[in-house]
Amino acid sequence: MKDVAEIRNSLSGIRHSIEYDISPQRPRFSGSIIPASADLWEFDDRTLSDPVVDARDGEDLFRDLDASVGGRGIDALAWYHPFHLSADKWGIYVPITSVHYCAARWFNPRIRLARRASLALNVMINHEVIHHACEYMVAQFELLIRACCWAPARDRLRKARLEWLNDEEALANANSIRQAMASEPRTIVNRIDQALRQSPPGYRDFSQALSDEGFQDHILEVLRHNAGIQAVDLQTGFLDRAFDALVFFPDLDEARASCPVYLIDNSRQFNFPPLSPRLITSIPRIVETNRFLSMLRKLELRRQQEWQQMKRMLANAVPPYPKFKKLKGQLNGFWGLYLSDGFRVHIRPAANGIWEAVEIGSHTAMGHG
Amino acid sequence: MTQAKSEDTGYPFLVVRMLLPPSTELEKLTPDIRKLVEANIERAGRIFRSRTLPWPGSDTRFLESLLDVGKLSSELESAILEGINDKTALDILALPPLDEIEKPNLRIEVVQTGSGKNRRFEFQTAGALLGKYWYRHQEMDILDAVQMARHLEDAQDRGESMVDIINRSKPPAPPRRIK
Repeated sequence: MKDVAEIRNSLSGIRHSIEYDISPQRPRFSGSIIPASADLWEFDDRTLSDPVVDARDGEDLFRDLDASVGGRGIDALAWYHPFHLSADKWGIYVPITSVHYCAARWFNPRIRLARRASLALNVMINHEVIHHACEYMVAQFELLIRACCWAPARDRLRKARLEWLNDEEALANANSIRQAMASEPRTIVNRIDQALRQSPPGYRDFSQALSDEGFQDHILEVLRHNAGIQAVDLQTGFLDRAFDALVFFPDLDEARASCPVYLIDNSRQFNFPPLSPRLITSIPRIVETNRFLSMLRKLELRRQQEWQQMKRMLANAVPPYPKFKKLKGQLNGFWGLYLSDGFRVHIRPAANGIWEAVEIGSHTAMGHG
Repeated sequence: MTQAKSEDTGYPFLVVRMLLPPSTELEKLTPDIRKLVEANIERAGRIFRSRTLPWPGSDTRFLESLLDVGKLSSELESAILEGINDKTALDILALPPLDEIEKPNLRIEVVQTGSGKNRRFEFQTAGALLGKYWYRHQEMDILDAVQMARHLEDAQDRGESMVDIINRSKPPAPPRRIK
């Protein structure tokens, strides 16, 4: 994906494309903002050292949010601020109160709170990242045809007295379900599915976008809404059967990794159970399992040295995506560290901030491809 | 032959909708036939969407050309009827009979406006749909003026000369159609 600052710079040469710094919507209850990349969040249960005095009733907030979600879908809980509107405040905003809400309302209370919170955060991020991906896709089209598309599309919705594009919201909720299906058990997916159905039209129609064909159809409909009129007017062959517009849609893992996420820590005034968002910025201590050591010993000396170098680097900072990324499917719960020549290490968090190195090997030796 | 295009108002899109039986009719079908019909209708809907542009808030869509109506209609008809042999389903899915010249036996309805001798196909032009974002204009509006003022301030902060500033402060050229 191209850098958003570069995109904005190019879009500024297209009339009406870029607005100058419109601030994102504010949460109902303010708090400190913690910025990071989407894959680097974890939640820990923690003990509050100072109990909250005169705490607001969380259940009252939840009832209000029930009504908000009924009227505005998941975007009442978290939201995406577009880069067409802001140079440095664009990204996904998630209040911690929303994480508490989803953890309480969506999942079985017997599941540990930190796990429910992580699930909830992922659902919201996977929804909002679609708005980022769609905006990116439209921006690429604007640069190609040198015509403003994103702003007029929003304007047409407003003129039609619509607050959202049904296809985009269905697509976004479908992404949350699809991502959950790739990494979570069926019971969890069903819970998320049930929760997302308690939404207004558009948001609740995500079942039509769950299949690959439906997902792609919805992506294309978003592009048709945003850029179709201009593209056809300029005789670009946009509606030609052979034109593959999907190439403009970015890789979702890359979109997730590159989109800023701002957690708004606004829960302190409520009597919620304590929850600590933890950002994975470095991994100071890695313990190598016996299996890992056995695999490492079989590798060339330069690979072993590369691993030692990686460990030293991790003590200070995790490498940027895609050199460090959360894995899915059968490797759910693991992170991948990517060395040179396709070699990779699978690590996972253990206890007390310590991580375990579990496997090391080439792409094919590790069962990929 | 394509529709006449206006340089000032942009491409004229034909306003169309796909004709489908009401969902209440499908309830008369047995569950397995109904499932097949619904899958076919969904697939036809995707084909229709892929060849037209949406008009948010309306049940109609925009088609590029009148010449596309027949071909697209056939394609939709094939998709809807694929694998359907049940007589009840075929009766429900059948198009209204061709009885008037204004109502051809097609899966796509071309929306018309007016009445009597003034009855004609409805078009929406790109310029009308894009409104203030229509890009053929060269006149500056208030947003352009505000943007230009900001550019002037930024340029002055960078120490640029007035000539540089004025030469750069023109609205960008609008995109042109390939001829």
